[in-house]
Amino acid sequence: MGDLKLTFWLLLSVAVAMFIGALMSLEHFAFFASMNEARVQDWLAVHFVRNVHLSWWIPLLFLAMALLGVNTFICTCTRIASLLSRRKEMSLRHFLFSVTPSIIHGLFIVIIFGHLVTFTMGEWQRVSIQKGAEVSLVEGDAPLVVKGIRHSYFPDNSGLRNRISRSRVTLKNESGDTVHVEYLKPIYYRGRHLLLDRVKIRRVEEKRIEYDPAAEETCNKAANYRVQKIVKSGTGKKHELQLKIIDDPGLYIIIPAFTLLLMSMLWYFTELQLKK
Amino acid sequence: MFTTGKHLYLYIAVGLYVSALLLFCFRARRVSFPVFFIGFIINILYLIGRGWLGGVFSPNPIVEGPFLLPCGVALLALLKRFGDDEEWGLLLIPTILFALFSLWHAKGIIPPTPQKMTLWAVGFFVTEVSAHACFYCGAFLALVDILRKRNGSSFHPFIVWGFVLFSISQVVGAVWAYLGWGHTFSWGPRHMTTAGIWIMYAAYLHLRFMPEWGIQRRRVFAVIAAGILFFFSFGHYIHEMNFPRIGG
Repeated sequence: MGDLKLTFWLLLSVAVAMFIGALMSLEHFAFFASMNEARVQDWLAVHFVRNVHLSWWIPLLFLAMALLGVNTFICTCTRIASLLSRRKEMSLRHFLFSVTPSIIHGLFIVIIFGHLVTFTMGEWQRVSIQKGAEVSLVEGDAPLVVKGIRHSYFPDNSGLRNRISRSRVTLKNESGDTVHVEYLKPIYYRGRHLLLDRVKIRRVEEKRIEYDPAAEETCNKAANYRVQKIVKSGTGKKHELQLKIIDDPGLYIIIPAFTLLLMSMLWYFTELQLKK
Repeated sequence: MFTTGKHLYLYIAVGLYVSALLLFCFRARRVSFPVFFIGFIINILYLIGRGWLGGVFSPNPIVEGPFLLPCGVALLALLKRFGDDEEWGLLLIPTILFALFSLWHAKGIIPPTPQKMTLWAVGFFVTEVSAHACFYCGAFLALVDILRKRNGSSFHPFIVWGFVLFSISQVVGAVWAYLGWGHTFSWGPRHMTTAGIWIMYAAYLHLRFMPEWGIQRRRVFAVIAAGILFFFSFGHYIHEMNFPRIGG
């Protein structure tokens, strides 16, 4: 461990695992999409043994990432120790330039850790919403009530007519306070992020409606936002507005760390260019 | 916009790129650049015109990969020319190849969902496609060096700055993904491909510090990496041709 050659081969291993996963998920989109709303350990406990032929690469990916993290940590510590021992021999600017790659590597480890926190500790819930419905964020807490849902559409004289451009959901809590949730404008409410989503539902019987993520799901969601003016009765498909309730502790690690990594990289490569 | 829905302008731009390349090859380089520049301007105007293909302005069709990529590569050729590099015309070859793909690709727009109507999405696609342009240009120049058996590492800065741009796209994309769908990373083909590409080029950056990976082996790595990038990104573009579109 703590070897540059090992780093290189571990990086390639992770990349290969990601590419394998990408190809697998192209063929089995809904199967892997279900991982996005479950803790990875819970998902693997249910799906790994039953579908080893689909999910075998996932533990290998995590193993490669773990080894990469450990190797990077050892390399980074060794490098920083070496630079600190020679600090008096160099100017502050030269020292910062030399230590920046180590900072970048350290931030990379933080980002990996942040993703691990998301994958293992995140919580995701979906609730179907219509006017008057009650939404419980946490069991035992007073629910939010859906007071209104308003859709905006693209202009009638455009090629995008009958398609939703915006939606606004108004929720009221037990104190009478209202909160508004729109697409791309999640709100933070009592420790959770609330987001809107619109999904395809397969109507199995006239009275029973099930959310089935395998209902011909693809990565193209455009059709979910096309409103059908004539609703046919009986079996068929319909679209449903849902509220996603998310608790993602890894978010507050990933975004700041990635931003700092980016700033460090920009500074480092600019300095390198100037030195040339 | 006068170029909206008029795909002829794209054909004209590609025609001018081809003419510029022929002039460059036949050593009429003083004429080659103005012809290329006019083609580039027409290409940009066509690209902007795509914003109104749906009948209402949306920036998403402007930054769609198959159409933005040739412009990105052409811009790098322009920068090379302004950097007094006499070999700027070599980059006309990948420009034309990608522009020919855009001629073949479905030209209509995929109706934007509400989660795609944000500047974060635009920022993501602009930085990602710009990064791809850098990677392809770097790989092309590496390939030229291999075939001509010459020294030089003019390909390397393209890959370095491509990686920086790609890193920006990862941050911007993660923010967009969370705002839109509640995940910074998704177990789907798109996210896993981009993560794999980022890691792959991170591996490339470490080769400089490995003496056994001399310049020739690094050129080969750059070419192979671009091939992998091409497989996934153009596979994705071709897959998107099956989606219902508006405007062509």
